[in-house]
Order: sequence, then structure tokens, then C-alpha cells
Amino acid sequence: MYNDKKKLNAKDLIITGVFAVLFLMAVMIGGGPFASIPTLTFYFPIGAAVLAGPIFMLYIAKVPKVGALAIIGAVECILGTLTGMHWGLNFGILISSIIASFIAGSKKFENPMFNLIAYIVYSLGPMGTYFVFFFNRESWVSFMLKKGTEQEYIDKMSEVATPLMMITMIVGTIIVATLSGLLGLRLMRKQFIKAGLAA
Amino acid sequence: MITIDPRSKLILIFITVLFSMLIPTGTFTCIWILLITLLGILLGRVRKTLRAAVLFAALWIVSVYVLPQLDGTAHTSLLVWLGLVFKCYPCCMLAGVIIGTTQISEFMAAMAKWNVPREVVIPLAIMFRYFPALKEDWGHIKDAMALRGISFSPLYFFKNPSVVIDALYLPILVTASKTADELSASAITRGIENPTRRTSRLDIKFRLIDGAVVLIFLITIVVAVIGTSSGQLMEKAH
Repeated sequence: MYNDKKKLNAKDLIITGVFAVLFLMAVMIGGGPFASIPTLTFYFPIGAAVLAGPIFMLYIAKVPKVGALAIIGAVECILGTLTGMHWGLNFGILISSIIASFIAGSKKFENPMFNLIAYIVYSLGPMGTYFVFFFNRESWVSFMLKKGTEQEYIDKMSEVATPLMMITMIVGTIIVATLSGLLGLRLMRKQFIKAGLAA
Repeated sequence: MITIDPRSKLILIFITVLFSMLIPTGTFTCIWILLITLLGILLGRVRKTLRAAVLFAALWIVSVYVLPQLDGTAHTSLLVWLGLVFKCYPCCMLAGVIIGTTQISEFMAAMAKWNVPREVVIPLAIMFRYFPALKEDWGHIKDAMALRGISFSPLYFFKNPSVVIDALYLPILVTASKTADELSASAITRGIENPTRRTSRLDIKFRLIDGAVVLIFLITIVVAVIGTSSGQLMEKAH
């Protein structure tokens, strides 16, 4: 047996696989409806943050190692690339999950406050694509057009894209992620630890 | 019936991603779906592939015949939605065919041949394995809670959110984490932690049929690229 405390063993990797599915489902159920409607697309990160809080808390309690979240990010990045998402989204998720793993890892994944902050950082990840949109609109539009996104979709998006929207998106995501993360912490305390799921 | 190497399946996915990136939705999308349908049938996944193809045909007919009749907001939102669906459809359909026809052990053996690190292969393999299991678990939990009159409809959720969280969301998390423990127990028993190079009884290698399938897809994408770019040139000339 490999009982290395720092390195990921096979058990951690399998738990990672199962939780990656849960994360994906949470994003699809919470954020999917927003992403397909152009006027609501900026709320996608908010929707994606609604469900994942408890999953995140349970996951880092089960695999309290720094590399674990990074692997979730990498797997989501690979799947996003395969299904043709914007690179800002994929690498946003990858980078934010790596940062999140270091934030939570700095207190050995035991401090609820730091775990909450880590979850908020993780939720900000999908915004990568919108940052690219705001700071370099020309290249974003040409990239999406080349990929074949409909012109009308982009027009609709540009119509509603104002600095105010950007602020709403960030603040909204932080608020929703905080609530979801708090729910996750509460479930951890009330249910998971009692049920013996997370030591 | 044919079988092809999992690695050539991955190459096919990459080609399809390239296809959705390069080629605007049009006649070539239909041809591509036809190719995927043929591939799915040849790989022995007949019914589900045909169902997906019929669904695509129905959506296509809607976009060709019904869409021009509409106008205003309904037109825009339907157009955008269909555009998104048509963009993702080839990738998703091919992914469905591939996941449905590839054994996990086959996939792992092929990835070991490519020297992909374990840290990526194991989570991916588990994901493919776990998606159907999650669906099954979800069905069971929903049935059990329907007996108690708890449903997952938005209306019910807004009336009493805490019940929905406790009765539907928690069980999913708990079963998932139990499943993870069981899966890892069974995988470790079968020696997944062995640090030496993975060996396999399966004979994984590229054959003539792999070359043929990949070549057909490659030729189609080249023709599509040439076709669309010359079409654009024609438009510019006019």
C-alpha cells in the first residue's frame, strides 16, 4: 500500500473521477439554461455556482491534498476543449481551481473560512471567457465567429454587455458562491461528519 | 460489425472538434452526422445511434421549414438555440457512440500505450463508468422520494427548499461518495496501484480498418474545408 500523505494514490484518483461527474452535473443543471440564452449568458457563472458548494466541501474533505482540485480543473479543461468551449472558460477553470487548492491547502483543508474563500475563487473560474470578452472584444468575436457561433447570438450578447453587467456578474457570483459554500459547510457539520463520510 | 482501436476513436473526436471549429453549420453537418451514424451502426450500436440521427433530422427539418415562418423574438431565440445544438450535436453524438462501444479496460490499455499519466486516465475512466451509474442512482432516489410526495420540480423547490436539499441533494452526494469508496476498493483489489507498466490481455493496435475509418473522416473534413472556403470566395466574387 502507498500511504504517502502528500501524493495522490489510486483511491484519491477514483474519488476525483466520481466527483468530477458531480461537478459537471451541477454546472450543467445550474448553468446550462443560462448559457444557451444570449441575453442571460452573463449569468452563467452565477448559475454554475448554485449547486456545487456542498460537492466542493465534501470533495476537499475526502481528498485533502493540494493536487486534487487541480486534477478536477484539468479534467474539466480537457472535456471543455473536447466539446468546443472557449479557451478562456477552460483555462479560467484550470487556473482558478489551482489557486483554490492552494488557498484551502494553506490551512490543510480544515479551516472553514479558507475553504469558503477557495470555493468562491473556484466559482470565479468560468468567468475567464467573459474577461476575454470585455478586455479584448475584437479577438473574442472573431474567435467565436470562426468557431461558427451565430452572429445573432454575439449581437445579443454585445447588446447587454455593459460594465454594470460585469460588476453584477462578479458580485452575483461571489454572493451565490458564498451562500452555496455556507450551505456546504452546514451540511458538512450536520450530516456528512455524523454519517462518517468525511473524517 | 467492426471494432476499432480506442486511440483511433480519440483521433476521430479530435477531427470532429476541428470540424465544429472550422466548418459553419450547413450541408456538411448533415454529411458528418451521416458518417457518425454509419460508424455507430458498424460498431454495433444500432438503435441508439439511429434514434440520435432521427432526432437530428427532425431538428434539421424544423430549422429548414418552420424557422422561416417565425419572426421576432421567437425566431431569434430558436435560431440561436438551434445553432448551438447543431454546433454541439456531432461532437456529442460521436462521444455517445464512443462511450457506448468502448470497454473501460480497452480505454485504459490504449491510454497506457500512449503513456498518458495515471492522474488523468483514472479520473476520466471513472467518469465514463460513473455517468450511467449516477443516472441509475438518481432514478432510484427520485422514485423513493416520489412515494413521500417530494418532487424535484421548481415549484416544489421554492415552496420548501430545505426538504428538497435534505431529501434529494444529500442522498445523491452520499451515494456518490459511497460509490467512490466501493469503486476504489474494487480497483485496488485488482491492482490499479501497481507502479509498473500496465499490461493487458487485450490486443490493442492500429489495424487496416482504423486507417480506413480515420482516412474517411479526414477526407471528408478536407473536402468540407475546401468546399466552404471556395463557397466564401464565390460569395466575395459576387
